[in-house]
Amino acid sequence: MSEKMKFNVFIKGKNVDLVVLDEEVVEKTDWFNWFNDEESTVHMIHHYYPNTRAKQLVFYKDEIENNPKKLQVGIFHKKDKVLIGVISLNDIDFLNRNCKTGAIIGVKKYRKIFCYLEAYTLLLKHAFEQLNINKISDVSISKDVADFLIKTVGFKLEGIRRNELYMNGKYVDLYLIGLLKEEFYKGGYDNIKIPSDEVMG
Amino acid sequence: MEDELEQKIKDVMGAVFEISVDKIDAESSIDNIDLWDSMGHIKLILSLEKDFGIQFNGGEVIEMVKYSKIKEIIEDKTKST
Repeated sequence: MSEKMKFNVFIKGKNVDLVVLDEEVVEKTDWFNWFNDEESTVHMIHHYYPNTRAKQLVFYKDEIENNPKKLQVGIFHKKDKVLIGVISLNDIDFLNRNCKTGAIIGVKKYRKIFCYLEAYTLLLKHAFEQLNINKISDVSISKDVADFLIKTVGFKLEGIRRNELYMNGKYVDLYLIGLLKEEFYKGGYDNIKIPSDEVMG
Repeated sequence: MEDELEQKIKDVMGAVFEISVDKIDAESSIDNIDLWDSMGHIKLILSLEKDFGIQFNGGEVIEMVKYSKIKEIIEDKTKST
């Protein structure tokens, strides 16, 4: 399983690294199964149809392998040497210099705030500094999550799409947030001092 | 004697993490409370802000992963207001 695999590091972090995803990761980890877990996906636009390893491989081949508009990497917990989630930049638009983000922490034990925030800020920094992205957009069905990203990372609320999605038996609003490069460095990045592993849980 | 501020913090934590207030002490942290995951942390921060009428900055939000640190930060903020 993933503990025995060697992952190729793409971006180094303090407690987590962002690692390259390939066919071996699909074959030897539980990545596909994270999307079958109701708890993992409760705030995500997923969990409509069951996912399988075969479907995940098709997704990897079609959507990730040679797709310059999507950058998806694994979140690797350095101390425990385990793949705990994936995170991505989606719909990368190199003309208008913008993209969207998405992430899942699939392993419950690591669903602590630091794993997510560290991975998130590492990828945002890469987007702004290496890919020359000027604006990143995100969406959430949770007002709390949107408020939290506004507070910690520097996002601004750009709108609310009322009753946009049908989830868990009801229509829910979708909160649209956006982050400009200068806002990330002014309001968010400098405040996010990721602590060391001892308090990560 | 436990003061009002400590009791109020414990009430918020108990409600957010669905545990008895008696089980919250100086050692309570993100490491030993089951529901203190990412969503739990977000709910905790927003509930504390609402109940105490204060705002935390991004750095404080990251630091507030232990009861003792939460108490220290709120004490500092409520003293200065």
